[in-house]
Amino acid sequence: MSLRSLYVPKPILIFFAVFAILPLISSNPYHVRIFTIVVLYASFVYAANIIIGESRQLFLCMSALAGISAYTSSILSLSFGINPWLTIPAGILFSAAVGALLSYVSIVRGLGEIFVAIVTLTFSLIFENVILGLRWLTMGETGLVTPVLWWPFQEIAGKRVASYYTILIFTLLVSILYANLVRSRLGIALRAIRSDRVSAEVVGIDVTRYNVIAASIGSGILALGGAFYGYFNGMVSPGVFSLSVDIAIILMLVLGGIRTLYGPLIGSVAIVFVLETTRGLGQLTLTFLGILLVVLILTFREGISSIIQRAAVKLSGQGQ
Amino acid sequence: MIHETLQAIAGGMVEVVIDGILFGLQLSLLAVGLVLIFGLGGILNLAHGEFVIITGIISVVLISSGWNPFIAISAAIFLSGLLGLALDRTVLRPVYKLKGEMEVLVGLFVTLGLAFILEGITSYLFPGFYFSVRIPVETINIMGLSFRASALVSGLISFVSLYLLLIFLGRTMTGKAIRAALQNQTGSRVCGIDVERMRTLVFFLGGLMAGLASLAKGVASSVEPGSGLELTSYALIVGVVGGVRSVYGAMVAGVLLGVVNAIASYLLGTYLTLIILLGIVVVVILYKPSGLFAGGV
Amino acid sequence: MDLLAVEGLRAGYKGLNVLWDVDLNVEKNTIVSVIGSNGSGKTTLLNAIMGFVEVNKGEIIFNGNKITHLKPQERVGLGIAYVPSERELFPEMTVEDNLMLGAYTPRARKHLRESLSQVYEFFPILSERRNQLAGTMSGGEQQMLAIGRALMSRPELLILDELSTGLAPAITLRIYRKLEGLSERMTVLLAEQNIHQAFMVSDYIYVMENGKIIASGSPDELSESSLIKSAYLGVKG
Repeated sequence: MSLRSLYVPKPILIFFAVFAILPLISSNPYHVRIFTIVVLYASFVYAANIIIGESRQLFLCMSALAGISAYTSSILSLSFGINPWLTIPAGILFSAAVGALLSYVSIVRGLGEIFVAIVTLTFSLIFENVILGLRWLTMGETGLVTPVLWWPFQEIAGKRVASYYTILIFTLLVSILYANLVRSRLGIALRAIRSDRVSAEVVGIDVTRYNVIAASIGSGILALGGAFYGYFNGMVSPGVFSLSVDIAIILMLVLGGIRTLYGPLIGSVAIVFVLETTRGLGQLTLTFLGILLVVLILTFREGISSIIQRAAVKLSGQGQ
Repeated sequence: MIHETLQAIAGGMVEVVIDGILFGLQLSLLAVGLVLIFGLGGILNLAHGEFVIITGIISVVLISSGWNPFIAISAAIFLSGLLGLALDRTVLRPVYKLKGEMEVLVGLFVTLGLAFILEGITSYLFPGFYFSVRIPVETINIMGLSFRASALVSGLISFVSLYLLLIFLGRTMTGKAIRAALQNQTGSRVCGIDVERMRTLVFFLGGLMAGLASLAKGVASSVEPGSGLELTSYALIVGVVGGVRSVYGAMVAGVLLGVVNAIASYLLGTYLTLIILLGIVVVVILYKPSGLFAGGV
Repeated sequence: MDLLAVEGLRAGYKGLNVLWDVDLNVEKNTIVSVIGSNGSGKTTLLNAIMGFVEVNKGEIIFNGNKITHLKPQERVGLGIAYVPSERELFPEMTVEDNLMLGAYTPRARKHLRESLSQVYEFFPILSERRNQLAGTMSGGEQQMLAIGRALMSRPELLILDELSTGLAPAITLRIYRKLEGLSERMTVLLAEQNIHQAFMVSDYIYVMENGKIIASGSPDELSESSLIKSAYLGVKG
């Protein structure tokens, strides 16, 4: 697939153009932080879109996968004094390997979707406890202060804005990756598996291989995003990569529209907006998230994006 | 000299193992409610830990209103059962209309959402609450070995609860009907068993077990709001090791993990213990993901 | 009086109709068979009588009461017992537990001990294997257990679907002989692909094809009919 045949949908560019000018509209540091969170989470949701949406593997350990990368990169940098940009690949590799392993074991053991969910959930718990257990390495509950990452153009624009644009470009690339993945051989194979797994196998599609690849790619995205999150946040701790993150990602995925191109962006904007608005509630934020989850999963399973798309199709059909 | 040391170690070991069993029984009781509902009701109830917490809260509220503690706690446990029943009859109704895997997955998210809702509400409304039952005696000596009375009582409560559950499931007609409904729905209907009613009953039982687990924990230590998801995760881990659908498996796995935890802590210290426990879970997941006793009740 | 009457039944799965205007009557203390090839609708008819299939039109009347829209477990309580072709036993429970569950309904539970010894007498092999797990038994034994479990509910009407599937003819024959002995006390309705056995055992026979009843009569009447001869040949060929 050459660069020329790369599929870049125009709306995506528009979306990102809008995001790009946001810091110019409001340079309030708090707002820029929100923008960064939105864009970063969008990348997570794209990863979830691939793993949960396209390859139907219900990974409930996405925050753990992101965290593994963040911790690995930070610890390596701190222990050996290496520039974080050089240790990030190690983090990505580690997470991708873990994701691939989880996927592989699930398929080989013939685990149904619910067991994949249970196993990955358990893995999340294991991750959290390992972090707490290896206190001498990870600073346990208190968290680890991440080494300073140099963000491109941070001398000109300041760290906050520079990190925003870096992460924005990252997410842009991820969205393009997703758009092309869906059209690629992998994407088509995954769709075949989704619609009828037995037939797909009969036709010669290697379910294991494609699922593991999808899991690896998704994990890789989570890993890079996770690393960025850690460095941008200045600190990593079990609280930063907790189950709430997984819940938020899933909320964004469902609300925005599973298996859609714009869903992750829409979902991320919507959920972050909701979370920020309800911030003052303290403990009740959890309750609110819960209500959202129940309502969304029971009613809105298709998500806003696909509803809009269907409406658009209907309108254009009627127009003709 | 060596002989005496060995005797001391042996004596210490016996205490440690028994401590492990007692704690393990608590874990088993905690897990059994979750496994019951998943194995016989088909729903992974991630709000399980919340039921434990709510039982504790209700107990404290009733006791501080002047209720007799025994009656208060019994009422709270019963209410926990009712909560489970309510879950089945209300929130999960739309979930049951879905088929097969969709049902399980949506059910998982609905209960997770419910867990978040309840965790938030209980933490918000009852900050600083804790439910703890104090045993008048500090230690009890049996055959030269001393044990914390609270641990013994807690273990006893757990044991009796689990035993009664096993008797119910194995010996009574209703218990058999519940197991039958899990093994074969059509066959059950053909016997005149109302499968939906059995499921509601299972939810009631699951809630009841959560309530009993709350009592056991309250005796051994304490139950506090905000720890719901943590409790659910322990239950889930024990369940995964024992076989997420197997009541019997959950019981054995709980005791097993409790004993391993006790021995490893005694010999190796907390951190290594954690690694070992997690290692066991990882090994089980890798080699027998459906659990050690995958074969159902 | 007819114990069971099916009138103008149209039924099927998920809105699709499989049965078309089926009329069927079963007199008390008789053995009635429904025969036909695979896909003729026999099992659907039995499932509809038992309540496992949606009825779109028509009525099912048992002992004078309309049971058309009752749930399966309610029909069991009225005195109908069903042995599905897949038997649907409880594989991880013992023979004795399987049997005991057959007497789950209040009407049957009163006589549980009595029924149990009667079933053990009827099928001695079940008595021998009473503590064995149902899933570990042979096909023939499982069939006997399924029938025994149905008998535990002390039914007035016993419905059996494709008894002979997966069983050696000799075993099927033995079971049918036993059923003949039962017809003094109860009524039997069965669906059978093996025409020979059905003819041997039944008092009345219905022939089905494509979801419709195309012929009915006593075994003697039907064996005269050329229709049956061709259907018989059809199945054979």
